[in-house]
Amino acid sequence: MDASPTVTLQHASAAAWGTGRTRHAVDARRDAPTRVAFRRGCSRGDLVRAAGLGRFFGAGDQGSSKSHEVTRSQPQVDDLAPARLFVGLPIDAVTDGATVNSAAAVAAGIRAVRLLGADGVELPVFWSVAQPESPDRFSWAGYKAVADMVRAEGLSLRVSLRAHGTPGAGVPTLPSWVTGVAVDDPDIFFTDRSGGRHDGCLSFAIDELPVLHGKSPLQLYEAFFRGFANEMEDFFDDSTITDVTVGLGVHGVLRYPSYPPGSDARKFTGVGEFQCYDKYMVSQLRRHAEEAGHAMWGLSGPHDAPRYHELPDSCGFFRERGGSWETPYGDFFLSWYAGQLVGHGDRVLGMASNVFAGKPVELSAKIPFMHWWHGELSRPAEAAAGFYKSNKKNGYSPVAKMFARHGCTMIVPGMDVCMNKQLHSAGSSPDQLLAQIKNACRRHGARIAGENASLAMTHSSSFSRIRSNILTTELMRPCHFTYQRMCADFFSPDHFPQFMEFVRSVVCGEWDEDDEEQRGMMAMSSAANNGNAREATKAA
Amino acid sequence: MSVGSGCIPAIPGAAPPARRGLLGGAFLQVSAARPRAGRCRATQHGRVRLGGRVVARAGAAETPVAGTDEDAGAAFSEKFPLRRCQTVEGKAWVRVDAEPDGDGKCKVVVGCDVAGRWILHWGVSYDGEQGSEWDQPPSEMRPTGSVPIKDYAIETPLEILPNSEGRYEVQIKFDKDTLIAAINFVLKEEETGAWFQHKGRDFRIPLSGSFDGGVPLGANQDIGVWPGDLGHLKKNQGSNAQPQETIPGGTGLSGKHISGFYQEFQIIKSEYTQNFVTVTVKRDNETHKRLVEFDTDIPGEVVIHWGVCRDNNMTWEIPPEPHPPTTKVFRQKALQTLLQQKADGRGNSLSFLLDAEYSGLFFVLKLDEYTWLRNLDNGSDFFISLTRLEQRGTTQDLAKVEPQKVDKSSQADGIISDIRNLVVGLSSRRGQRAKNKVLQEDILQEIERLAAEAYSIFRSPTIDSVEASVDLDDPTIAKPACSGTGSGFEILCQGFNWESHKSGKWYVELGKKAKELSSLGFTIVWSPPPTDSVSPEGYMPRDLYNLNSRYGTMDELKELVKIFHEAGIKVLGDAVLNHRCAQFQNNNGVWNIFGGRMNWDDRAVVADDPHFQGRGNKSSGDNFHAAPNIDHSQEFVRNDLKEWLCWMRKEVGYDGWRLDFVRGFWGGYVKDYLEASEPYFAVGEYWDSLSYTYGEMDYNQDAHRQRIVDWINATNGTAGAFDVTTKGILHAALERSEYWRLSDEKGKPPGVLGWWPSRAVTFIENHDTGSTQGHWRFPYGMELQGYAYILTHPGTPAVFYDHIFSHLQPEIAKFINIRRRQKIHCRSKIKILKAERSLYAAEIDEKLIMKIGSEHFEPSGPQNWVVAAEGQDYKIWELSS
Repeated sequence: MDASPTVTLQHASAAAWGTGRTRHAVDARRDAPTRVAFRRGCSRGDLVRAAGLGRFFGAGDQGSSKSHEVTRSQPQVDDLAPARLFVGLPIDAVTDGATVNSAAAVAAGIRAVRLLGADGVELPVFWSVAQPESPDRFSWAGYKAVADMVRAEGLSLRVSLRAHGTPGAGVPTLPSWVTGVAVDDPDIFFTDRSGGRHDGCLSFAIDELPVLHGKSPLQLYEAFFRGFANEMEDFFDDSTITDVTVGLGVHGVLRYPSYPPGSDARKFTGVGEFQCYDKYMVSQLRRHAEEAGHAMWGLSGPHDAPRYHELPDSCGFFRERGGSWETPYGDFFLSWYAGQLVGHGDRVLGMASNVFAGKPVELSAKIPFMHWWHGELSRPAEAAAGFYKSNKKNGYSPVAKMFARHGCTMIVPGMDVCMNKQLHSAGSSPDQLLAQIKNACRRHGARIAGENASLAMTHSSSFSRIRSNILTTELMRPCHFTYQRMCADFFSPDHFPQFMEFVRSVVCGEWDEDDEEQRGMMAMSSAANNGNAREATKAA
Repeated sequence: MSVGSGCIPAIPGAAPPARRGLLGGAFLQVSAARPRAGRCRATQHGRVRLGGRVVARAGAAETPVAGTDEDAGAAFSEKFPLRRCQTVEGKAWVRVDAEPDGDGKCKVVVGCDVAGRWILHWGVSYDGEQGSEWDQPPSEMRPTGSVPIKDYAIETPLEILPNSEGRYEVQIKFDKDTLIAAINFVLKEEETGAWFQHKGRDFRIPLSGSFDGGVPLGANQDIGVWPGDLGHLKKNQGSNAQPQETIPGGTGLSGKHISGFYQEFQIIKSEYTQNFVTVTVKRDNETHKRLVEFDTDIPGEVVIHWGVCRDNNMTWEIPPEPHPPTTKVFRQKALQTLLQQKADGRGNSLSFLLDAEYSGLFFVLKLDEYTWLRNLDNGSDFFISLTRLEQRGTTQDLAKVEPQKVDKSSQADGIISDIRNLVVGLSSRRGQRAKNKVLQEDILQEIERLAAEAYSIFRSPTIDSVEASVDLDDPTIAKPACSGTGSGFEILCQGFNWESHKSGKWYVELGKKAKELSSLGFTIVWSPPPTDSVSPEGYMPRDLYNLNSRYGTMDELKELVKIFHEAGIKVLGDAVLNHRCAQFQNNNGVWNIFGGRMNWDDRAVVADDPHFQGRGNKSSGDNFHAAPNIDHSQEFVRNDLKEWLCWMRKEVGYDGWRLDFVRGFWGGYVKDYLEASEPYFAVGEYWDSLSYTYGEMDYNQDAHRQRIVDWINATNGTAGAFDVTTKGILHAALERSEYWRLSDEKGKPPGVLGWWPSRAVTFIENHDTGSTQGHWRFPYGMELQGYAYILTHPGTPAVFYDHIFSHLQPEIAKFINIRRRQKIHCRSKIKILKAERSLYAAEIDEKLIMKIGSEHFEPSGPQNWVVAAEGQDYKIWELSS
C-alpha cells in the first residue's frame, strides 16, 4: 500500500532549528518581555543541567548552532539540542470558528505559562471547526485570535491540525457536510466485526477515493492544511508557529479506532477489535489476499479475535501459545492491517510536508502509547490499533521509518505513565514500550517528542516521571514536551501548584540576576511589592 | 482601604507609575541608591554617607482655594506639604564573648545605637551542613521575647540598655561546645520596615571553625553592603579605633574553637519627616510686578529649581535678568536659586519680583544633588498660577487657574537624567539577590493570580467572555435571590471624609444634614465604619460588637439611621470584613487573639502573612499587611460574621453595606454574607491598579474591569462594586484631553459601567483617593466634568461628601435633578455620539444628551433639545417636553 509520493521533507528539521535563532531576532526587535521569568541559558559543567535544565531552553542562547545542523540521514540525537516546553491550550478554545471561548481565561493561561518560563503553547486546530458547514468556506478568526494572544506574549505556538474532532468538548468529529455523506454511504466510517460503526472516523481505505462530494479525504485534508498555511502565513513568517503537528487518525493519533464505538478512546484499556469491516477495507483486504495467492484469507477479518473487553487468551487469535497470530495467516492479516495504517500515515504526512514545505516549522505527528497488554507476546492491544510486531521485529519500526522519511517528529503521549500505577493484570509495561519506541526511532533516525497522557491530578509522582523522561541523559531525549492541557482542573488548586513546581524544577529555577529583572519588572504590571522581602532575606 | 499610604493598593496617580516607583516606592529605593555606592567609595574618608539619596515627595496644597481669597491685599498663598527622607547614622556591632560566664555559657551580642524598634531576625546552622539553610536555634538559646518565624528563624527584639544613651542590644547565650556552626542574622527595623544585611547577604557569626557557605564576619574586607528596604550597613573602616577589634582567622580556623571578636558596622537609617513650603504671590503696586515669596521649614541648604511660563502653554522658560541673588542658570532651561536661611534658623525663605506677563511658575525643591522634592499629589513639578491674582473672586475662573499637569517634555533635564540614572543603576547592578527574590515572588504571585482567574472562568462558563458580560443586565437572565442593587434609581452620597472622626460627634453633625441631602435627591448615604477601631478613621476594626467610635456612640448611630430613614434615605454601613485587629497576644507575643463577643483565636487568621502567625488557611485574596487578615474559609468565622451583619441590620437599622477591601477574600464568601444579611444595597471596594505601558495608561482596560466583574460574579451579582476603571479612565481622559478613551472598542463606556452597569457604582472621589489623603485625586478643577459624566450615565453614581458641601453643590444638585427628572437609572441605555481628542458626547435613554471636553458640540436631529446645564467644558441637554 505504499503508494505515496516519495516526496521527502528536507526543510523540516533543519529549518526548525534555524527557527530558534530567528525567533530571538524577532523577540529582540519586538522588545517584548518574553519569557522573562527564568534563566534560560546554562553552564555546561553540571551534568544534570547539561542533560536537561539549561537545554530545556533557548536554542539560540547557546551559540552551539553547529550542533543543530540536522541532516535527514542522521538521527536527531545530538545531546545539545534543547528540549522545549509547551502547554496545551483548552481543547475547546475555539469551537465555532469565529470566537475564542473563555478568552480571558485562555489569555490568563497563556500569560501564566509564559511567566512560568515555558516556551510555547499547543493549539488544537480542528477541521470541523475551521470548515464547519460547507467545503467552500473556512473560518479561521477564532484560531487567529488565539495565535495573536500567543504572539503578544512572545511565545511559540505548536498547532495540531486535526481532521478528527472531540465531540465531548463541543468539537464535532467531522464537518457536518462530510458527516452527511455517511447517510448514504455509512461504509466511509470504520466498522467492526459486528457492524458497529465509528461515526466520524473516516476509514483509511477511502483516503484516495473521491467519495466525499467528489473529493477524496486526502484532497480535503490538503485543502484544510493549505487553507491554514495560507491564512496563518504571517504567524509562520514571524515564527510564532514553530511546530505543526499533523493529526493522522482519531484524536490526532495514528491508530485504528480499536475501542468500542462511542466510547472514550482515552479510557479504553482493553484489547479492542480490528476495524476492517467497512466495505472499502474489506475490498482492499480481498485484493491484497488475491495478490498474495490466498484469496480465502481476504474474505473477512480473523474469526477468532476477542471482543472489545475480552481477555486476549479468551479466543484463539491472540492466545499466548499457538494463537492464530503466529500462523502465516495471522502474519498475513496483521501485516496488511498494520501496513494500511502506515500507508495512511505516509500519505497524509507526505501531503502535509508538501503543504508546509518552505515554512520554518518542525513537523510532528502523534502515535498512541498503548502500554496495556504489552506484556503479552502477541501485543494484542497494539495489534488491534495497527502496530504489529512482525517477525518479532519492533512493531514501531515501520512507523518510525515512515516518520523519519518525512522528517517528522514522533510525539509519544505517555511520558507521565508510571508502571506502578497500572494494573499488572492487564500486562501493562510503559517502560518497555517507551524503550521500544525509542529504539525504533533511533534506528531509523526519527526524533521523538513527548506529551502526557492525562493531567497529573491523582499522582504527583507522574510529574517526577515526566521529569525523568524529558531530562534523561540517554540519546533519545524528547526534543519538546507538551503538557496536556489547560482546563478547569488544570488551574484548580489541586493541580496547578504541583504543575508550577514541576515547571520550575525542569526550568532550572535559578534567577537571572542581571538584565532579566528589568524586563521582569515590566512584565509585572501589578507587582505588589509587599512583604515578600521578609521572606526573601532569609533565603539569601 | 483607609490607613496609611503604605497600605493603599498600588493605584497609579496622575504621574506615570514608573516614576512614582522610583521616587516613592520603598521597593526600589535601595537599588536607586546603589549607583552612588561606587562613587562614594572612591572618595571615601573615614565615614562615608552612603545613604545620601533622599527620596522625598511632597503633597499638594490642602487649604481650599476659596480660603486664600480672604488674604489681605492682592495676594494669595499656597502651602504644600513636603515629605523628606532623612538619614540617621549610627553603628551596629557584633561581639562574641568566647570566655564562658558563670553558667558556662558563651555570649553573642548584637547591638546598635540608632533609635528604632530593632529586631534580630536570626537562625543557626549546624556543623557539617552545606549551604545557607537556616534552622531554628534550640529553645535554650532563644532569649526571652523571641518569636519563631515559620520553622526556620527567630525574631528577637533588641532591648535598650539602661543609661546607655540609646544603645540597643540583644544577647544570645550558647554552650561553649555547641554543635552550632554559626549564627546567621539580619537586622530589621520595625518602624520603617528596613532590613539590614551584610554585603547583601546574611550576617554570619562563626561559632566553630568550619564554614562552607555564607560570608563569615571578620573574614572579608569588602564594603558594598546593600540591604533590604531602606538603609544599609557598611563595615567601619578602622578610623574609629576600636579597642578590641580582632578578626578571627576566617576560614583558617579549625576544630572546635570559639574565638571572641568584636566588629562594628555603620548603619544608616532613613526616616521620613514632614515639612512644608509656602508660596505667596503679591501684587507689587510700585512696579506692577508680582512679588513671589517662598518659605519653607526645611533647614540647611534649599535650592528652588524653577521656571516660568506665559499664557497657558505650560512650557518652561527663564525670566530675563536680573535674577534673584544666588541664582544659577541651569542648562538654559531653569533657574536654581538658593533660599536664604531664616533669621531664627528654622528654615529658609526668599522673595523676588517677577514680571506680570508670566502666567505661571514652576518649581521643584532641590536639597542636594540627589534630592528633589516634588509635588506629592501628582509626582510632577509644583505649579503656581500667577494669573489667579487677577481672577480672584469668580468661581468660574477657578477652573482655569488651577494647576494643570505639566507637559512631560518640559521637565527639567536634570530631573530626567536623574531618573535615568536610577533606571540604569537598577538594571546594571549585580548581586541583588534579595530583590530578585522579591521579584520572583511577585512573578509567582502573578502566576497564581492568573491561574486563579483562569480557574474561575473555566469553572463558570456563564461569564467567560466579553460578549457574555455585556449582556449581564439582560432581564432574561435569572436574578440572584437578593440583588443588593436597590431600585436602580439610587444616588449615593458618601457621608464622611477622612477627617470626619475628628469632630467626635459626626453622627450628630451628619444627621443635621439629612434633610438637605434628601432635598438634593440622594437616596442612599454611606456612613463611616462604626466599630471600635485601632485607627480613628475606623478601618482597623477590633471589637465588632462595640459600636462606639470616634464618629459617635452607638445610640447616636441609631439615631442617625432613624433620621435618615425619616428623610427617605437608606443607610449603608461600612463593613470591614477583610481584617480585624487583635486584642491579645499569642504565646509568641504576636497580636492575633481576638476578644469581645467574637473571641476568635489564631485559627481565624490567614496563614500566609508571617506577621500574624495565623493558623487558618491560605488567604483567598490579597493580604492587607497592617492587620491580621481574617480567614473566611473557616466556617465559624463566616457564621460569626453573618451573625454580626444581621445584628447590625436589626440593631442599628443599616439597609446595606459598603464592603471594605474586598480584594482580600473570595467573592463567594461575600455572597454568603449578603445572602444572610439581605441588604437593600451593597457595594464592594475592589481597588487595584489599571494597566499601564511605559507609564502611559493603556486604552484598553478590559483586564482591569474584568477583575472587578469577576469579583461581582463571584458574589453571584449580590453586590455592586465601585467602578474604579471608570474613575481611572476619566483621570486620563480629562487631564490629558484624551476623551477618546471614554469609548471602548465596541463603542461602549470603557469601565465596569460598560459591561455591567447595574452593578457599577461610579464615583470620582472618596475618602482615600481625595479628602486629606489624596492617594489618587481626581484632576483638580475638573470635578464637574466628572460628575456631568457619572450623574448622567447608567450605573449608580456616588457623590463624595467634600464635593457636596463645597462650591460644586449647585451644579451637582442640578445634575442630580436632571437625572431624576429624566428617570435615568442604572440600566439606562447609552449611545456614545463622540469620543474624540477633546470631546465626548453621549445620548442616554434617548432623552438626554451630554458632552464634556473643550470642543464645541450641539445635538442634531429633529428633536428639540434644550440646555439643562452648562459650565466649563460640559453641557447637558434634555428633550423638551
